[in-house]
Amino acid sequence: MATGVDSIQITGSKTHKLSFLRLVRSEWIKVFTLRSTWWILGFTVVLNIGISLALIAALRYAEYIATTPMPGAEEFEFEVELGSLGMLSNVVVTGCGFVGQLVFIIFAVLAITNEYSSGMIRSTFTASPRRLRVLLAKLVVIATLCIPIFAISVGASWAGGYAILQGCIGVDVTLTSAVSLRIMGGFLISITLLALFCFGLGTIIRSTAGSIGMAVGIIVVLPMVFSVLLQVFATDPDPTGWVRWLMNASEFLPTTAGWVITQPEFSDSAILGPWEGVGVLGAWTLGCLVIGFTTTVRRDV
Amino acid sequence: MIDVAGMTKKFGSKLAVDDLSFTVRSGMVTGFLGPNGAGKSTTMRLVLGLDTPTRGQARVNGRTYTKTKAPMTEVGALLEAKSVHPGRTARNHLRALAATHGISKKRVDDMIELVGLSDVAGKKAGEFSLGMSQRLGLAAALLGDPETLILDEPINGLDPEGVAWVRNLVKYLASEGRTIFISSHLMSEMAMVADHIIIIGMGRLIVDSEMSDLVMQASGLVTKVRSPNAAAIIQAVNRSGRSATDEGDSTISIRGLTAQAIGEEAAKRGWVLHELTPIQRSLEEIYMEMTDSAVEFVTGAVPRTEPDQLRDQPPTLSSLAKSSSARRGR
Repeated sequence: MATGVDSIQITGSKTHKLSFLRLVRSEWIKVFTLRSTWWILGFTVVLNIGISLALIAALRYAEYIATTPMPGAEEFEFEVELGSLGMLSNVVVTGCGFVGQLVFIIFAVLAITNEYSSGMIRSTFTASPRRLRVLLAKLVVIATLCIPIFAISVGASWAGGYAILQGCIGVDVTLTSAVSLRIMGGFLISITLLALFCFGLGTIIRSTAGSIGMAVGIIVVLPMVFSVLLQVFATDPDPTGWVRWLMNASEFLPTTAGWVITQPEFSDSAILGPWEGVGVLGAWTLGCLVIGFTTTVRRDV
Repeated sequence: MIDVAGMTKKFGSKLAVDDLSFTVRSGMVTGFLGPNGAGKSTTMRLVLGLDTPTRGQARVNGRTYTKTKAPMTEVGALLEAKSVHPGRTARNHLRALAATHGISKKRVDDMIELVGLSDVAGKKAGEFSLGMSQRLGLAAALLGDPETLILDEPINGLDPEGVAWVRNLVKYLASEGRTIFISSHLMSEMAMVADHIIIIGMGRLIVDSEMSDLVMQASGLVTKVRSPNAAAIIQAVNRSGRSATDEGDSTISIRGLTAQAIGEEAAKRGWVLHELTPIQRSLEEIYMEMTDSAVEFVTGAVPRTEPDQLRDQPPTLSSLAKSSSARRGR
C-alpha cells in the first residue's frame, strides 16, 4: 500500500498563502461535501413550499365556501370584503417561516458544532490559526446559502399561490406593491439574521444538541411562554406595572421583533415598527456573534 | 525550528505542562517521549496555538504560530487521528484543507498517493481504520510542504510495513533540512528514528539529550562480577565512591566502573574473579528508570514469575489479591 518516498515529489510550491477568499472557498467545500447539507437544504425548500401551498389551498377553500351559496339557499347574498381573506405575500412568508426555518437553523448550527463534535476543528484551526477569519468565512457561507434558499422557497410558493388564487375575491395577490415587497424582502433579511443568530449560539455552546435546544427554546418556546403569561395576566387591555413591562418585553424577543416586518399592517399600540423590529433582531444577532467569536478566539479548542 | 520557553499550562488546578523549555532543531528528527498523560499532546497543541499557555510561549521559526501568514507551509501537524469529519471522504477532507492556502487538487492527489490511500480516497473518513486515519493525517500534514512537522504518535495503529514507511519518511524529510518533532511513548521506536530525544514526565522536562549520548549512557555502566572475594570487593568499591550491590550467591553488580577497570584492580589486589560481565541496559530500561517517578497512571505491581515457576504453579488467587491490595496502598 505504501509508496516509496522517492517516487513522489514531496517538495511542492512555496507560494501558497492563507486568504479570506480561500477560507470561504474551503468552508464552501466543507459544506457541500457532506450529505447532510443536501438533505437539510432540500428538506427546507420542500417544507417551505409545501406548507405555503397548504395554507394557500386552505385560503382558496375558505373563499370557495364564502362565495358559493348553499344549495337551496340561493336567496342569501354573500358579500366578501376585498382584502379580508389576506394577502398572498403574507401567507407565503408565514408558510416559509414555519417549520422550514427550524430545519435551516440546524444547518447554521451544524456549520460550527459538527467541527467540534468530530474533532475537525483541530484540523481547521491548525490550517488557519486566525480563528476569527474562519468564523467570518463560515458566516459568509451561511448567509449566501440562506438568502437564495428562502428566495427560491418564497418565489415558488408565490407563483403556485398566484395560479391558485388568481381571480379569487378577497385575496390580494399583487406582487409589486410596496407592502408586498416589504413583506417578502423583510422576511429574507430576518430569516438570514435569525440563521446567523443560531450560528452564534453554536459558536458559544459548541455542542450540537445544546445549541439546537437553545435555538428552539429562544425561537419557539420563549414567545409561547410570554404569550401564555400575557393571556393569563393581561386581562386589562391597557395594563400597568409588571404586566405592562412583560407586554413590552415580549415585543423585543428576537423572533417576535424580526417578524413584525412580515405583517401586512401594524397595531397602533405596538412599540416596534417593521424596520425597528429588524434592528432589534439584528442587535440580538450581533451580540450573540460577538460573544461567540470572542470566546472562540480566547478559549482552548 | 521550534522554541519552547518557560511554557506552563494549567487545566483548572491540574498542571499539565510545568515550566517547559526546549529547542527542536531543524535537519534532524527530535523524539518527544513520555508516559501517558505526561503532557506531550498538550505541549504540541500549545505550540500550534490550539491551546493558550498559562505562562511562557512557543515559537516556530522565530514567530508565534498563530501570527504566520501561510501556516500550512510553516507547520504540518498530525494530531489525534480523529481530527476529521467522519462523513466527508478522504479526498474532500484534504481538498477543503488545501483550499485554505490555494493548494492545487493535483497536490492533494499526490499526497493521497504518497501515503498510499489512492484506493480509498473516495471513502468516508469515518469508515477508516486507525492506520488509514493516520495516513490521512500525514497526507494533510504534508499538503503545504511544511518546514516543520509536528507528529503526535504517528505510528499508532500502523502495521509493521507502515511503521517502517513512516520511519523512512521522517528521516528523509529531516535530511531535506526540515524540523521533525515526533512524539511516542515507546523508546524502542524512537531509538530507530530520533537523533535527539526530549523526555518529559508529569509536564516537566526530564531529559534533553542527543540520542548518541543516551546510547552511551545505556551501555557498560553496570558490571556483573562473581567472585569468592565478593565482600572485600563491595567494601573497596563503596569506599571509592561507586556503588556495588550484593546480589547474593557471591555475585555483585558494580555501577560506575568499566569491566576493564574492575579487572585490572582485581589483578592488582589478587582477587579471584569467576565472572566479569558488562551489562548492556536497554534504552527502554533507562527510559523506564528516568520516568519511573513521573508516571501519572501507576499500575499495580504484578508478582514476577520466573519461567519455570510459571510452568509449575500459575499465579494463585491470593497472590493476585496481594498485588491488588499493594496497588490500593500506593
